[in-house]
Amino acid sequence: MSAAQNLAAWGRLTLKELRETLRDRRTIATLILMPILVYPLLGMAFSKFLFAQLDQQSPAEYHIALESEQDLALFRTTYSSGNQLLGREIDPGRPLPVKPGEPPEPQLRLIQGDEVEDAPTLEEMVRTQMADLAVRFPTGRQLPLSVEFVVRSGSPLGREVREHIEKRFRAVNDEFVSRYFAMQQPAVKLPVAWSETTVPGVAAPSFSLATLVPLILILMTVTGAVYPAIDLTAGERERGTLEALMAAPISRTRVLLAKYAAVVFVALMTAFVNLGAMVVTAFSTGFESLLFGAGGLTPARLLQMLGLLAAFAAFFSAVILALTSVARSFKEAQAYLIPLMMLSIAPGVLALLPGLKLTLGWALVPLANMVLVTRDLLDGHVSGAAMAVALIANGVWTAVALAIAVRIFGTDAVLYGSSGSWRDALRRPEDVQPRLRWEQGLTALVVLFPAFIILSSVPGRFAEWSINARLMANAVVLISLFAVWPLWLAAYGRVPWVSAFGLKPPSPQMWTAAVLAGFSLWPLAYELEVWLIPASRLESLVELIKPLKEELDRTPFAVKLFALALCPAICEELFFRGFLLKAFGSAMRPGVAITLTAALFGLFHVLVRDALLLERFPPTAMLGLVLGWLAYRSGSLWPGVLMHAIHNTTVLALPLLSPFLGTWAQGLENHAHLPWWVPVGTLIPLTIATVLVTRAPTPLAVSRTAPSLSA
Amino acid sequence: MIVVSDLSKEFVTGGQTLRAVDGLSLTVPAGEVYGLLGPNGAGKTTTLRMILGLLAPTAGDVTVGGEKVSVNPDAVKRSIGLVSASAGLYQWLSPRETLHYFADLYDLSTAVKIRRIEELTALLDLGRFLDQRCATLSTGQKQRVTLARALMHDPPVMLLDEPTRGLDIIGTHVIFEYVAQLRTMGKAIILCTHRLEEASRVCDRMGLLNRGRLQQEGTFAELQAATGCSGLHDMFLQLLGSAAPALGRAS
Repeated sequence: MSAAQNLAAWGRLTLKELRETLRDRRTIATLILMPILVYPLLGMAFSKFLFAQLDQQSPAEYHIALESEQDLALFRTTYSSGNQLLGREIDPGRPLPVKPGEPPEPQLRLIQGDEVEDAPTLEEMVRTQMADLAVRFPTGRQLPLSVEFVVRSGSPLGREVREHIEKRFRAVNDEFVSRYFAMQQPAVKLPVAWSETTVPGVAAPSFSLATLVPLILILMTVTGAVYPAIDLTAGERERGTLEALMAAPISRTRVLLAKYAAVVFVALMTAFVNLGAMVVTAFSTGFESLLFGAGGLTPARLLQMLGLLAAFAAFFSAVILALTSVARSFKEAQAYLIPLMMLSIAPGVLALLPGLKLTLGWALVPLANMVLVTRDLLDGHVSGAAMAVALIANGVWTAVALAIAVRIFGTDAVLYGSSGSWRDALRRPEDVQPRLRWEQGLTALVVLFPAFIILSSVPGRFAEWSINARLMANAVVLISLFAVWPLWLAAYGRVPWVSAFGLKPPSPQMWTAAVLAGFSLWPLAYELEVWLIPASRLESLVELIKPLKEELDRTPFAVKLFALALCPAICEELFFRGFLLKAFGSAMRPGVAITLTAALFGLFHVLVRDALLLERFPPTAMLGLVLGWLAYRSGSLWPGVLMHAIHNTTVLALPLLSPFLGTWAQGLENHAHLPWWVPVGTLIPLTIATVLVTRAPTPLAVSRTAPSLSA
Repeated sequence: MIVVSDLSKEFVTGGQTLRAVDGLSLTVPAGEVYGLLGPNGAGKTTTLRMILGLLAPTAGDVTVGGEKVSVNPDAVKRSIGLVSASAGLYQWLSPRETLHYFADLYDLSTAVKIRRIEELTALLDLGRFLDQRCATLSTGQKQRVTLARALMHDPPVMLLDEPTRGLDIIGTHVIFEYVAQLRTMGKAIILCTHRLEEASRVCDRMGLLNRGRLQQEGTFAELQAATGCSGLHDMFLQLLGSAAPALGRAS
């Protein structure tokens, strides 16, 4: 079949999916009716709320900044003229008597910029909220008076002050025009002309609705994608059409791509209708600059936003399809999607955090990257490079999610898998089982993850405990969760510990490889960490761990050796390279199982008491990969335990050995780079270790029928 | 046409291994209707799914039209039409749209697609409801659409899994009439059903399956001779052995 025929066939498959989806009234309700109804209602409610708030919170004083004494006098004269023409009090510095039925007249507080300490610019004064608004006269007293207002972006108060002054200046102009026409002179030049400059706020910026827009659009796009995604995947199984579909000689990729196109289309339509409804509501209620930032929503910005929404819809549709492809019913799919919806709100809330910048790291994080790009786009200061990285990362994540969906959709596990309860899956078998099952690995994780977060932070809460007591408490937590818990699970599942954890002795060359890798991996892990941490973050990290480090310096080495080297080495290996790798290995290829357990190993090391140390992920995941490979090749847990213990001990002992190691070791405390010959030198023992491991026979690869990770 | 060789399937649930099909072997030539009969849970549907390549066998293999399902599953799928009792229809599509969709899944050209829809409309009398939404069709009409869907690519092999479940006497009769017509078209058919009377009329040969094992196989006359029973009902009861009294009470 030619490419054109393939494309046409794919188009026909997509058309069927769209027909099925769009004929459903529920889709239309989500797609069109909801946004059309919701936004005007939200707009009206918000408008009422905002005006009520402004009425209550209108300050007695407006702070207006001017550059010099001359400007101050000029402003005072023009403003007073306008006030007089409006029938108000002449002096802007004095309060006015309240007229019945009218709000109290605000008092102006004029700030002369060149008298303020450090003589900040007018923009600076507005940005730092020293003034609600600044007035500049670029051409001085020369008529017509040119007036430039400097307003903080997204500040309702600044807007109110501007309108207040503008009303007075307009009165001057109106008076002039009426007098002029009375004199019937030919050329008209109004005495006052004004323009506006907006500056972004910095210190304690006022809340801007623009930060909410990405979150709203995310939720709306997700809402649009959810129903068709469930219907076209889990719905197929529930209706009984999936079997007929899978009985056809067509690749799952083609079927799923057609479904994906339909879901993206509906999600995009929902997002576009939402954006349209939001724009119309914003313009009709006058909130466009509040919602869409400085300068409102220009056609170019609208196009950029639509592009971002398309990228976001592409990613989210793939993720939802991957999840719903696992489900065997609508109910099950909804159960899977609720946590996803909750998770998707978290990055949306990120955009609300002041000071959070779209760094390279954030540009790689799915969902959060698109949210931050949209926010920055609305704020008018998006970085092109960061946006490009975010879009590329978004594309990669989309492809990953789609690949997962294709792999899952229509497999016999989904097609015919029982919808039995977890109780059935975890029922204790009557006979001894040869190997662990993946469900047991998942159960272990589901319990361990929250338990670890809670329990590992408990010892740190007892500040009155000595460091020794806290280290011992940590060791108890580690032993309970990473050793006792999986040992119990294996015993409950009637899987002998020898096969569940790979406790058989390895070959001598594996021991040698473990020793070599244990001593020589740390410089690579260290360099990776140093390379990944930016200087600014390094300072805060050093500050963060400084008290702990000082305490640890006073701790006996034997205690540290037990609590921070030996205990983690044994317990973590038992769990990650023993239980988890064997359980996952029963259902997936060795490479996938090793990578997954390494990623989980890295993730657990990111959670440190109350902090998230994301930079710990790459080096620990790298160690996890090496340890996983060692466990797989040796078929035994023990080389990994030895390697892990040596690695931890070496890292602990380095500060003690630094007087003997030369000047390069002094830099370790400050996270300075090692001399090049240290990491390069370790490559020699690492190469020997790799050769030893590669050349050793793989006990697990003997039988092709048995799952290769299950001994 | 269909050669099933020493086919086995094991399922693992809750740590227990269940052998659903146990060393099953059978052959169905072109133009023959083979009745695969047995109680619920005998392994009939699992067998059909393995023939179609939807389930991977634990052991053994299936050859359809000279192609091994383990080697070339797509070629096997292309030569099989499946009618299953549990199969549903797309509620928001009409039978015509459904048939178009399945024609696309089997890569039929537009001309063939249109011709086949006309032929099947005439054969299965779909004309009155061809453009009606599937959700609005009666059970009998739906089953005829399901049959048309399976025949759309004119497969030489048909797998019919309880095609009359939920149908009334007339509906059942109509479906069996179609099955007889399919035989005259030279198709190799495996039919799984609990309608023993109709099965004895329409099937050329039958296999009695229990707990995944083929207990008896042959023409109706051969089965009568082998079991000493006059009807399929009695053969069934004999086949089930100890479960027979309970079944008798239930019937």
